[in-house]
Amino acid sequence: MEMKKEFEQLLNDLCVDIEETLARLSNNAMLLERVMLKFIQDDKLPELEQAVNNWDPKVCEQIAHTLKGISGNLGMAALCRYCDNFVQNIRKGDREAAVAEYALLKEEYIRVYSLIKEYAC
Amino acid sequence: MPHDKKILIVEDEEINRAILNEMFYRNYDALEATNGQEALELIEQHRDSIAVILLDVIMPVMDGVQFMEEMHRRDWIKDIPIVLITAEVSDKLSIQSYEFGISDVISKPFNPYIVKLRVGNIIELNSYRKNLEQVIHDQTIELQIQAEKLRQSNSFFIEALNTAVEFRDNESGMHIQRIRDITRLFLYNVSERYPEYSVLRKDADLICDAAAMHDIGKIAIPDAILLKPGRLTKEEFDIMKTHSLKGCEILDKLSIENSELLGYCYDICRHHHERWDGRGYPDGLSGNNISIWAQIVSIADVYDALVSKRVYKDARSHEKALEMIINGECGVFNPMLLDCLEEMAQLLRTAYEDGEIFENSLAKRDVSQTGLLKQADSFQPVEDNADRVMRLLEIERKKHQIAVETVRDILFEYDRKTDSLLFEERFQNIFNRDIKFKDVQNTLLEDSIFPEESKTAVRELMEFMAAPEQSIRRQLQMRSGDGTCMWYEIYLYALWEREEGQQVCEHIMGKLTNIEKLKKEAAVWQEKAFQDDLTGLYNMAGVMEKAEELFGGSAQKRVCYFVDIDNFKEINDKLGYLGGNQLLLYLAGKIKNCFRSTDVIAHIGGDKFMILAVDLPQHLVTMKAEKLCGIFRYGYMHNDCKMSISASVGIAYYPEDAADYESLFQCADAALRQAKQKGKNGYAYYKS
Repeated sequence: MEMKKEFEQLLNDLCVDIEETLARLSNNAMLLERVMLKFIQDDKLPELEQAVNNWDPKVCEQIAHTLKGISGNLGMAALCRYCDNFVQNIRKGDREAAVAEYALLKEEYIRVYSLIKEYAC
Repeated sequence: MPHDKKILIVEDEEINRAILNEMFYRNYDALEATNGQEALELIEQHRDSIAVILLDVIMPVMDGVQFMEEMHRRDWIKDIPIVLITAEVSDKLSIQSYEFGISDVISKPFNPYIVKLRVGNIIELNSYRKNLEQVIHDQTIELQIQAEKLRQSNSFFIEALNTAVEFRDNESGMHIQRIRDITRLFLYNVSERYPEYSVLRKDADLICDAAAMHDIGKIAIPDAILLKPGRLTKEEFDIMKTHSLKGCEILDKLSIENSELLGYCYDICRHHHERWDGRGYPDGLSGNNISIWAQIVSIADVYDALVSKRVYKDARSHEKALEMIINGECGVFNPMLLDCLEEMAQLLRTAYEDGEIFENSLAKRDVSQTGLLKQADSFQPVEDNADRVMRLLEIERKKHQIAVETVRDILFEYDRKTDSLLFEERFQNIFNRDIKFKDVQNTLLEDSIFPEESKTAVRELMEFMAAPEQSIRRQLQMRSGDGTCMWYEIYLYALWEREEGQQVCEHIMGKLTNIEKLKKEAAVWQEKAFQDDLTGLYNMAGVMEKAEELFGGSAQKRVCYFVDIDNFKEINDKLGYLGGNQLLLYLAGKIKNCFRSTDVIAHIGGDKFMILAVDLPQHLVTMKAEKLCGIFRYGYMHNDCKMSISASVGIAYYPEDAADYESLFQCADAALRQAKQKGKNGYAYYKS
């Protein structure tokens, strides 16, 4: 299936492994695009930010866990990795390391989120 | 079009439902539920047609665990297989789920191909569970049959090897048989006189079989030395001496099942040239550090060599041989065995004088029971002539078989008087040519059987044929009957005779050996020098070689990754050396999958890997770094035990960071250290 040039550019900017990610979606680029747009409709960062600030590890873990699954499926490897490290550190009870990891997570989330947002407009 | 089988997706995230639906809608009707409660309702409606349930864990209202509990309570779980698809992968959850009776756990993000296969498998499995048991039963029987075949082929192999030695060295045939017999004589004699050596009688058959193989290492000795008429030079003798170790190498390569036999074989092969005073070879063992069986075989070997005629010496008399052995002219032996030898003297002499291959009279008969061994007149053949002829024919048949199948040589002869070549019959089959070549000196060089590039070698061989010396060996290509060229080795051996006081050579023997396989193997070995034994990736030498190639000339961008497992030492301690190797092998495979086939991937020792890639776009550089870090995201399974492992990656660019590849490697290594400092499971670009 032919992919739109702009969309391909977005995926490259996101550092998505296009081949692998598309394979996960039975090579349906339209579906990938739809799902990507859905990603920004359901913005999970404010909720996570609040949980981190109030330090509610259970909620933090749950949101980051969900985010890890979605970002992994969409091929956003860096975001997925930060979520993973974040969750691991929470489970270890290492708040300091978790918060440090959260900074990276947030930065990458904002980068990814704004790239898709820009593409959507 | 509706399908008769349905699949139930229980998952709260719409994105994930969409992905799963996309995967399966072609083959199944997909039902979707956003939580466990909805799922139960759907199951009540469609219970008989649901083939499998794909279940998420973390969901509102009723989560995956509660759902499984309920399924278990209602006893539905054995009717409908459940596959847990989750990003939550703790062992506790997995074990809990399996205890509920679910079929599989798949972690997110999932590979659709694998999900499809696994789900497909589970559906199949469910209906064929019973069938499978039968299949396993059948396969067990099949395996047993194969193991039995393997055992049989091992014993064939031992026999074939022995015959191969005999075939190459004509003297050895009878020699091997006699060694076997003298050894048996010794075994009984020693065990009778010294009760502490009773094991010799118990294992007599094994030891005699092993004794027969004492010289198998001679297969590896070049013809020019093994068959040399006349005394060996010091250098040649040194090569000849290697046969005891070569024998052990050959044994190592045979996976002989009977390890008791292998033990004796190995010991005898290695130590049948050791001497009591430590002046033998290869290990210079002395006294009873040499096993008693190896001592026996070595004394038997010497005795037989002395009383036999050899190309370089006449046969010695029995008395002379005994005298030489007892006086230590052939090295020092165990005084106890010398006593036995003296006691057996009469027996041996009679046996040899009668020219009897006394395998028949000695070996086959239970010496211990008759107790007659010490009487010379007890040698009567127990085998009748028909048996004997059959046995000899069988040996001939085996020799021929070995010649045809194992040795793969074609023998030929050059008659200098008539200037003609005569090949074995097999030549005709392979080259589709008459086996006789005439007017050789004038026509051979231009013969179409030799491609152009072989002409130099042919010329040298023809010069030898015109003015022979001792022998010549050349490798060259020859054209087979079907037109394809293959590598052969031609070995010419001049037969010199004494005629009217002059040395003349009328005949030259030749051997044509197909070495195509060897040539190919040589190329493989060369490649292997640049390969890491464990992983099959390049090693450091390979990287250097490839880097020279990659960095010659062109000005493309290059990027170098250093990958290191964060806690390898700890894991290695836990898994042990072999487990550590398995991990490295696993990692090597994963790394390979992350890169293109043109990238250079190397295991450069310990837990370090290195990748060198040319012209990789920036977003791909990052993506691949992510992939490297992500290899262990979902843990590493070792013997059903999951461990958390992570990797760190350092990245450097050429020409931005470094001017040549050696400093590029250093930069990547420095970047790796920077990545480690930032924390585990991450990557870093080189910063000066």
